[in-house]
Amino acid sequence: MDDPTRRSVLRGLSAAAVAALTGLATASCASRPTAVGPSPTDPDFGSVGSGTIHFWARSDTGTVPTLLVKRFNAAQSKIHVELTLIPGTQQVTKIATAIRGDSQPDVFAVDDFYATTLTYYKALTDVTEAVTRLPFRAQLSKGMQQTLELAGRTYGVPFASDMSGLWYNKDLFTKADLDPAKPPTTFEAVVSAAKKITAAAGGGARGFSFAGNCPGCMSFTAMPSVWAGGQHLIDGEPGSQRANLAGNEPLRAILSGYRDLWTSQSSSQSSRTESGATWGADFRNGRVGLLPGGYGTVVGQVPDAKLAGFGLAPLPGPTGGRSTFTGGDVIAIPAGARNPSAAWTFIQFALAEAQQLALPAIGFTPVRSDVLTPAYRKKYPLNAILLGLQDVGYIERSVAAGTIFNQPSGAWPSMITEAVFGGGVDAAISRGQNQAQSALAEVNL
Amino acid sequence: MSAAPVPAARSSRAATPSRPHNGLEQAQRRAGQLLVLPALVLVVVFVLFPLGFALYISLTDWPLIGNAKFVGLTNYSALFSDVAFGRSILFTLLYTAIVTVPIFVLGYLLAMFVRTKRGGAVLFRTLLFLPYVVGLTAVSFVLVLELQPGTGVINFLLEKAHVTGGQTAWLVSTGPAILITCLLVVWFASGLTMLLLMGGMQGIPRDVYESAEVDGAGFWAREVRITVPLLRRTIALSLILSIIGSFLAFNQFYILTQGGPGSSTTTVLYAIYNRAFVQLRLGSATAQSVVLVLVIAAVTAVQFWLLREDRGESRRIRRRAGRAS
Repeated sequence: MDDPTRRSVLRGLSAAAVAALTGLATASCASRPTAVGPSPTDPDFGSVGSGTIHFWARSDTGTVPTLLVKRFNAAQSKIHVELTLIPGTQQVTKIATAIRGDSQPDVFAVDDFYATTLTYYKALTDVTEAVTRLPFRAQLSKGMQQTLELAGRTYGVPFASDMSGLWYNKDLFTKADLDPAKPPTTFEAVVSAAKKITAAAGGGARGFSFAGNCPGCMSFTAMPSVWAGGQHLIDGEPGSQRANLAGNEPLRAILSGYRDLWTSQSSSQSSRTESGATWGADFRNGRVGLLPGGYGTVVGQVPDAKLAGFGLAPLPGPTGGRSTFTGGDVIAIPAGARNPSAAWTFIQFALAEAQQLALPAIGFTPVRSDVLTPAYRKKYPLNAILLGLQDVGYIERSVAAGTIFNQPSGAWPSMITEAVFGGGVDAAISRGQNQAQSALAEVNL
Repeated sequence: MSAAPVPAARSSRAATPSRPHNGLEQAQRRAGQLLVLPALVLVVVFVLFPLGFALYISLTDWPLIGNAKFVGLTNYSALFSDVAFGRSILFTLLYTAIVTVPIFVLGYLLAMFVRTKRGGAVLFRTLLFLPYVVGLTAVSFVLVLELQPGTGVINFLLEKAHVTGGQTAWLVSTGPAILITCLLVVWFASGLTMLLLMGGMQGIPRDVYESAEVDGAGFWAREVRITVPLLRRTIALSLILSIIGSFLAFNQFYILTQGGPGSSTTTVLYAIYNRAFVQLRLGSATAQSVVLVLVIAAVTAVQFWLLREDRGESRRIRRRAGRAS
């Protein structure tokens, strides 16, 4: 190759490199168009909107957004929703990086356990006025709604609920001379019933089962019994919270009850190792008398004929009371979303009665208590029991919730492991208090 | 491009510098710079800039969401009182100490076994290297399933052999969890060590061994006096790769133990992951990462120094072999 040709090739290459770099820089610097349509404070917010909106939801609960998006796109043609399912373990990371990169979706459904974090860090659009205009706002799940509230402002609404209750096997109750029409109303009675069932059933069947190696499952099923006893695990508003484990008598009683169930071998052996993957399988197979779990832990996973042999009751406190974990997904508009009005149109559609009534069939519970009519009770008797608990349901709200409750080495799972399977309840609570308080101190103002 | 003009230009510059020759030299220098430019751009964009930006992040309270503010060296000074991070460092050192020697010894023995040209050697090489090809993530997931009490094949076999009741929860107690993870990693990683060492062994000239045989050296004498000294660089490489891999251990613990029970099997990288993506504190996590990078660089430098090639010894061995032949 001679020199002129080489020079021209080099010139061409350098020009291409400069062009590519310039293009890259321009592309990365250029911002997307600003938000279109009315803002959340405008009265016509949610009634004027068109175009395509992007909706991100977590894959764990993907059946709900899939169904509702399909219905919405079929019901009208002005707005088209494009759904993207993201892995549940990455939901906060994905939305946070999307907001940082200015590529956030228009709508985002997220596990309400993380909603407080997103609210606290101003990752969501303030929709206070729009929520106030919803005619059914007072009937929305309060436990879920409070995860989206901060300093008197509201940043989203509940979307689909996943509540916990106490499943029981009627046949095993009968075998143990327990009345299947009268499930236990105290945790003490739960322990007693489990022991009776274990003794009476034989053949390796156990009175109780729980997912002791699944932090989220234990939050979902053990926390409500503490709340039913009148105590929370974290006190105060996000930013100035303190752990309430030490001196929490209902917590002490519930952990002691779980320890008793384990050490007396009234609980299935897999309770120690169950990480959630096969949670409830032993109950569904008829080998367990009592299982704290969710609606979808059993419904949809056994034939209807078999379902008749199971009952569902509220999770009781140590000596009475009842509560539920108001888990599930909330839905919000990420800060900086381009088409918020169209997004709110979709959110209103998702909250409409017709859509909410479709949820029990796919294993979820509506977020509106006003759908709980006699007809609903008749059609979904088990789900109606959980929906009836909506007003006494709760969820711990904290920026450090992931660190304390969901991280396997966090204060909550470590405390449960030590209290139920290890050294003992009091030492575990004492350590848990210190660990949880340290985690809170890192996020407190 | 012809090679002729380059020496011509050099010689003429040495003799009488002149404008045309200078111009040619400049053009060549420019051409060289332009040819290096793409690589330089890549290094700046994908290595130096991220590294500099990471250093900047480590000096802020950068959250995953929201605004950050400059906090100086607070993230670094906080590491000294961070008990969880300290515990993760200790566990990582323990884990590295446990697995490094078995990986090397097993890898070496396997390399001795497959380095020959005997029939079947290629098959064994492939089989022994297969776990590395499948990947640690996949084999960890398989192991989780097979270790399940009641349903896993390992518990099933142990029950059939009357060793356990078939309900052992291997991964929920610290001791068994560490043991199983280490066994998995030794099995997984020794294949790579085997391949590296085998390559080095095959590069040693035959005549060196033949002359040693003439001198009456036995199998182990040849191995210890010839193979190991001449393999020093390859051994250094395999040990460095193995130790860096252990320092950066994450997948196997994330899948098998989730860092538990409690935080007893949380490695440094797992602690950094938790800090960044569970606690959402990127500033602090980046400071931890910077420290980890520095530690790995220091350990690698020490290893290089300890295992640097003893050129004198290599020369002596080869000279002796030359004389004998």
